[in-house]
Order: sequence, then C-alpha cells, then structure tokens
Amino acid sequence: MKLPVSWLKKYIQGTLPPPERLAELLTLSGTAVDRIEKTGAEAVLDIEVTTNRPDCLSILGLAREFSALSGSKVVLPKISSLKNKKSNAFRIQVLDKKGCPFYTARLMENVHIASTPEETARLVSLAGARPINNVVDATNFVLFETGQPLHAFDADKIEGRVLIVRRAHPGEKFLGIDGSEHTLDKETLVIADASKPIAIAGVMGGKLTEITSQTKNVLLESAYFDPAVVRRAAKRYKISTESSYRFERGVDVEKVEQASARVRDLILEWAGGSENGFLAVGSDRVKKKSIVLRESRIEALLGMKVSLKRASQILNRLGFSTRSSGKDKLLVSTWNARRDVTQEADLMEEILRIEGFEKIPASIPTTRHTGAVLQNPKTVAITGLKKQAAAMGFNEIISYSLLPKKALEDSGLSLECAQRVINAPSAEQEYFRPSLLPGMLQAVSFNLNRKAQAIRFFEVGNCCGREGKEETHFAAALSGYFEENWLRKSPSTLSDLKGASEHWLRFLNFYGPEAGNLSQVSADVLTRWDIQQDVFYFECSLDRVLDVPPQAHFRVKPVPKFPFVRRDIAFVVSDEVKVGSLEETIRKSASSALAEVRLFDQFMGKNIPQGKRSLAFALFYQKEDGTFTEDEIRALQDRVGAALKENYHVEFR
Amino acid sequence: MIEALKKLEQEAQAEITQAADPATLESAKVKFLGRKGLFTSLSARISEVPPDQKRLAGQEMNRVKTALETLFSEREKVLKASPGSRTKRLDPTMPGTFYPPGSLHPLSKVILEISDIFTGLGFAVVDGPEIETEYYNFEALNVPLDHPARDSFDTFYLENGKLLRSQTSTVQIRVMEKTKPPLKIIAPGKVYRPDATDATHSFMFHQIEGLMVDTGVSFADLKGVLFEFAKRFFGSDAKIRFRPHFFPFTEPSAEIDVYSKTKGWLEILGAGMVHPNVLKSVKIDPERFTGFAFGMGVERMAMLKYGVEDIRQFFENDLRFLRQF
Repeated sequence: MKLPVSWLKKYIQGTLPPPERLAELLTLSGTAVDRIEKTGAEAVLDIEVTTNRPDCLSILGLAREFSALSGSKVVLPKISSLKNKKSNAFRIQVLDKKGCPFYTARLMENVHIASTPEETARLVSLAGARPINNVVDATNFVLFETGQPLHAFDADKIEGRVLIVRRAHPGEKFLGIDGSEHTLDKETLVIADASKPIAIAGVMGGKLTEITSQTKNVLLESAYFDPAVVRRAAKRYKISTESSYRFERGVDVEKVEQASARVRDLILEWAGGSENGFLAVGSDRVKKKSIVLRESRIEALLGMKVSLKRASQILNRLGFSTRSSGKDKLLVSTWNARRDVTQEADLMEEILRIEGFEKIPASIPTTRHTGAVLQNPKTVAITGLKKQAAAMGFNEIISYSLLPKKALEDSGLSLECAQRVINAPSAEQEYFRPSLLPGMLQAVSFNLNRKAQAIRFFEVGNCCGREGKEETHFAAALSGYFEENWLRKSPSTLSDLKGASEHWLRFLNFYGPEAGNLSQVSADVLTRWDIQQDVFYFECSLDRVLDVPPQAHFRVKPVPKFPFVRRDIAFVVSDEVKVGSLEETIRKSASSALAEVRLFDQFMGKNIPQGKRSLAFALFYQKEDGTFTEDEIRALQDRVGAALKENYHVEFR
Repeated sequence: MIEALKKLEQEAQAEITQAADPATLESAKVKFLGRKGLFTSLSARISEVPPDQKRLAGQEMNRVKTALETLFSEREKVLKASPGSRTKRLDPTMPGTFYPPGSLHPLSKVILEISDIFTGLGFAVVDGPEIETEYYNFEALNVPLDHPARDSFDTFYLENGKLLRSQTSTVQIRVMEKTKPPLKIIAPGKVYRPDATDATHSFMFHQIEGLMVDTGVSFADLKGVLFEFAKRFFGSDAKIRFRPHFFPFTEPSAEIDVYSKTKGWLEILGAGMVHPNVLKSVKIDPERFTGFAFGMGVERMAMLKYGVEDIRQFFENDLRFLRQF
C-alpha cells in the first residue's frame, strides 16, 4: 500500500510529523513502512499491511491509525446525500447470495468523459494507479481513499439492461479490461449481462463494457464479494488487482453504499451529468458482538498496567465503541471494518501496539520444572554424533531434501521409495529424498570439480523410508586421499570408512544387528555423476540405531594384573576365506585364554600363488591369575594352528 | 679454597650442559676431572689450607667431585641416546601431520549455539517430523483455510496427502498435545516453502521455534527472554526492538529487529503470546495458562553472524566454505 503523505494530510486535523517520524510511528504500531520515496515536495510511504488488517489498505484507515497514535482528529470527506431514489432503468439479479451478499449499482447519465483534475490524477498515480479518465479515476480515488473497490461499466454496452451475479458457465469466455482472455470454470463468480460475463466479481472488469471517451451513461458497481471466492478466482486466473487484493482480505460491507455515493459526488463534480437511480440487492447489516475486556487480564497478559480509561481512549480512536461494565471491565463492541478483532486477546494487541512495546518491562521468567522429561534423547544423540564426526576430521554438509527425478535415478535409487511432491514449482524439487546418497554425490562431484584432494563428508538429515515413513539418516563419504602430508600418503579405502563407522556406532551404543550400508559406490553411478575416482559411502537410519534398547548398565572391567603374551601367526590361505571366519576359528580353538586377535598384515602378489593371500594375526593371551609357561603358550598356538589347518587348509609361513 | 671449588663446579656445569656431542663432553671431562685436570690441581692446594679449615675443605672436595662425576655420566647417557641430534637438525617449521580438522556446518553451529543459550534459560530441545499433516501445519495453529494469511505459508504437498511443514510451529502442537504446562521448549529443524530461490530465499531452510506455557507468563517474559537471547548471540551491546505484526497463532504478535551499525534495523524473528485458539486446540485452558512463542530463521542468523551474503552458499557444500567453520 502506497501512502502519499499529502493525501493523508487531507483527512487529518492539525499537522503531520515529518515523513521519517510518521514512518517510524506507523512501523512501531504495526503498519510497517518499508521505504519512503520522495519526489519533490511529496513523500510516499510504501507500507506493508499484514493480511489481518484490510482496514489499513486505505488512506482513511491509515488516518485512523495516525489519529490513535497522535490524538489528532480524522476529518471524513463530506458526502452530499445518502438518500437514493430507486430506478427501474436497470435490473439486478443476484443468483449466488453466498458469493455476493450485497450488490449495488448506480446509474449516472450524460457524463462528460475527460481527463481528471491534475491534483487528483497526481495522487491516484502516486498511490499506484494509472490515471485514465475522470470516471475511472473517481472509482480509483475512492478505492484508495476508503478501501472499497468499485467498478464503472459503460451502461449502454450492457446487453438487456440487466446485471446478473452468478457462477460462470463452464468454458465461458471472458475478455479482461487489460486485453487478457480467460476461459472460465464453474466456480468463478461473474457479473454478467443478458448474454455474457462482463466482469470477474471483485477481480477485473471486462473490455467490452469499459468506459471510453464515447461513454455517455455509466453504471457504477459497489459490492461486497466473499473473500474466499475472490481469492480463488484471482489465483485461478493469476490476476491480482487492487480490487481483488482488498476483496480477498475483506472489505467493510457497511461502507459499500457510502463509497458509491462518494464516487457519485466526484463524478458529478468532475464529469457532470446526473444520477438516475440506485439499486441494491442483499444486506449490508452486520451483527455486532460485545467483547469483555478485563483490567486484570491486561496486566496478566502484557506484563504492564494500562488503565481502563486509557484502554477505552485507544479503542475509541481506533473506531470501537466502548462502555464500562463495573469497575474493572469494559464492554467493547465489535466493528465491521476490524473483523480481525473478535476476542479479548485481540483487544490486548490493539492496546499494546498503540501504547507501544517499549513500555513493557523485560523480565526473565522463572522456570518451573515438570516431572515430564521434554529433552529429546534423539536430539542429544545427534548433536553428540555430529561433534564426534567433525572431531574425526569429517566436514558436515547439508543438502536439499527435495530432489529432481534425475538425481534419484543417477544414484541408482528407485522412485518408489521417494515421496513425490504434487505441487513443486520446479522439477528440481519433485521428490522428497529416500536417501542421503544423491546429496552426498552432488557435494562430492561439486568439490572434485573444484580440485578438492581429500573428501570426508557427513550429513544428518531426514529421508522417507518405505511406506513414506520419515526417518533421520546419517551418511558419510570418503574419497581421494585419506592422509596426504610430507610424511605419509594414502588413498581412502573402504576399510577407513568401516573403521570410522564403527566409531560412530559405538559412540551411539549400537552393537547390532543391522544398522545400515557400507559400500563402494558403483562405477555406473559414479559415471553418471561425472566422478572419476573411488567414493566410499556409509548410510544408516538413526531412528533404527537409536531404537535399540540400551545395553545393561555399563560396568568397568578389572584391569589385568599380569601382562599379556603376544604370539603372531602367519599363513597363506585361499582368498575366498574371510578374515572373520578365520578369527572365529582362532578364537574358538584358543579358548578363553585368548583375550584378543587382530589382523596386522595382508600380502598378495610376489611369491604368493594366484587366488591366495598371506595373512598375519597377532594373538594376545591373558590369564587373570598368573603368567603363562612357554609350554602352555606353545600348546595354545598348536591348537590354533591345527584348527586353521583342518578348517581352511592354511599353509604356515 | 671452598670458594674456588664452588667456582670450578659452576664452570664445569656450564660446559657440561653446553656440550652438544660426546667428543666435546669428553674433552671437558679431561679438562676438569682428568689426571692433570683443574680439579686435581686445585685439590693439590689443600696443603695451603689452615688446619682448622681442612676438614670442611676436604668434605667440599669430595662433594664437588661426586657431583661432577654424576653430571658427566648423565650427560654422556643423554648424548649417546640421541645420536641424531648431532647429525640431523629438527626443523620445527615443517607442517604437523595429524589429519586436518573436520567441521560442523555453519547452520548446525548456529543451531547449537542458540540451543545452548536457551537450554541455559531452562528450555528443552525437542524435534518433530518434517512430513506433516494439514492439522498440525495449519488448523491447530489457527491458520484459516482460504485466507490470504496462507499466502505466507505456501506449502509443498506430497502424493500421500501429507505436506512438508512450512514452519516449525507444528512442534508446539505436538508437544502441547502430549505434555501439559509448565513447559519450555525450543525446536530447531528444516522447513519448506515453494519460494523461488535467490540470494535471500530458499525453498528449504531452517527455523528454531520456541514456546513457553505456564501460569502467569506475560509479554514481559517474552521480552526478557528474547532480549537475553539477543545479548548472548549478538553481544552484550545488542539493541533490539519489537514491532507489532500478524501471525495467526499468536496474539498479540510482534516482529523483532536487531540494530546493525551498517544496515540499520534488521528483522530477526517473529513472536507473540500464544493465541487462545491454539491453546484451546490442544485442550489447555487459556484462562489458566498463558504462554509465548517465537520463531527465527537460522540461515538469517548465520548470515548476520558470519557475514554470508548468499543463502545458497549453505547448500552448495563447497569445502572451501565449510572448512572455515
């Protein structure tokens, strides 16, 4: 909403503060001024009006705001007469009373179409409308002045001398005043003449009945249309006008007739002619309600005292009528222009915003603790995990949860797992991700293209699991160097990521069974992401990991009193045999004396036959009650050796 | 005599510590303790000492001799144990070789920092789902259907009839359904709005929602809490101001601006007293309990805090950007 300051001045008794101060006053009371545009002596305030305050979409509404803030009086424009004479020159039929509770038309005859007086044209144009002619400008002038949208038809172009307010026939065509063509659907409320729609109700008038320089007789519409109906049409046909903007927020039905009379006065003044009748269908009466305002409640809710006397002064200036009820209560009558005010809390806001937020003292509330534990254990665990991963040298990324189809396909993910967004404005946001993989590959590819040498990424984010169930996932990726410095250089391997993943799962107290997937991203997928080096990837569902009931309360184990004995064992074995199976055999055969077994070397190649590998394990023996004799150790080692030979035909080296 | 012995001891000590290799040390040993060394020649002068001081001088001679022998042998051990120190020089300017540090995403950092501030004020951190229903995203929050108020809450709808939450206020409802007051929570998380993406808008961003409900909670408490937050987050000289605004789920509602020397007043969050209709929707008696709620954009906070100019940078995941945090 644009507010030319000189226009506001017309309705204020007394002086206005400088534009900057005016802007500050308005901003701090709820009608935020985004900008002040200055041209010559004129300043125009660009105001952001919140959707609950359609009353501020008019100069008079803003004058009322200023009056409440400053105490200055508002001078309303004079309207010559509200007495109307009936006319039978026209007929109005309202077929949709819900869509149009109140409709009026006024016939103005023998007008002389010309340009508007210069001053008016200037104001209308500052407010944001292009000056057109004295009749159209009169409607726009009153729209800005009062907030009531009006429309002027060329009466002689209306077929059948009838206005019908009805829903459109499906497929009916409409030619807008701006030249745009629309095919209407049956939900659209229109104003039609005997044969065709001549306006989309509350949104836009038609080209065929517009006021031209030849127009002699004018039919002036002023009405109240249902906000939801206008809103739907404006969205459906993608037309937003000063008129639809106001109707969808709600205009004041009680001022419909008054606005029409005001335009009549202006037309008579600027374009001459005479009035020949007025027709109204429906009702412009609104039921009033009383809201009780308790003095005690003001203090309880706002944390500061405001006397009922002051409260009633503020409310009166804002247009509410009040009367006291007992010593500590005020009865406040609702007011149609302020339909956002329906209960006591709304009155509190009115009082507060005029009184000023800065008057409220700041206090730190006391905390009463409840028995219920509100802190979410998942949140705590995730925070810890993130810090852990970062401390391990991984960089956290955050990727988009909404992805294009291509990103899913390129990552080898099935579309069935993802949730499709039905109203995405762009194909880039068509699917809610089932996995963090696409985002991760995107980040890896992006950074490799920028010559990153070593990539260690992790991300925590929500994905939709099977059946659209939402789960929080954790993912990590390694690519490029794992270590790269003057002392050591080594490329990342799957084992590096396995080790890291084991750290994370242990951190989360998870020891199985299945947690997620660890893999080397397939060559096919990498090609599609234009990645030319190995990428290792881990992903798990944190909901599943954290869902595992906690282990029995942790107890510390006694530190061994005697030192361990280490014996190594090395052998060549078929590369089909898994290290895990070998470890299991070693553990079983060595009995409880074996505290730990650890692979410490693997060798393939020179001197090792094809299809085999040489493995070396360190075995740590430990007794609680003493040391081993050489014979005991030898016996244990022999048993291990025999078991390995028997089960896997190993050849010792 | 005794003074001479002490002086000799000091000189020897100095040479021992300065000896950087076994050869130097050996020649020092010969110089001081050798058969024709300084100690021998000094001890020969015992005959010149008056008889009544001889005993003391003799004791001192023995002490210095033992002391020097110990020093020489200890230094010898040190020099032999590190033969490298003689041939290789340490270059302490060579880079360290521990793995490079990782980093938390700037948005995570801001969320953590803000969460810490509020947990310090007695708030609990909770979370809620991103895939939500109409009820939690709109209805329970007093956002009327078919009202322009919904324009600011344009929403992504999913094929399964659900939607992606357009605000973290959904968590308010989920918490109040389960837990009755008193309660103080904050809920950080992702939200989604089908906005065109540019330097300051993203279809996915993060919010932190706050809620306190108890008996006797007033706007003064909201002001106190947010002022405290601003001081801790932006610095103790932070200036904030409250402006009336409209949110369907709070009444009275306000927007809060923080003052920047270069940019003037900047909007940082929205807040207000929980709307009685919202309390009623979760069966909390608005006559008995009152509360406040607030919500802030994490990206905006991070941009202000770190001087990030383009919101898209947060989701590009450029290592050269991430590593700075």
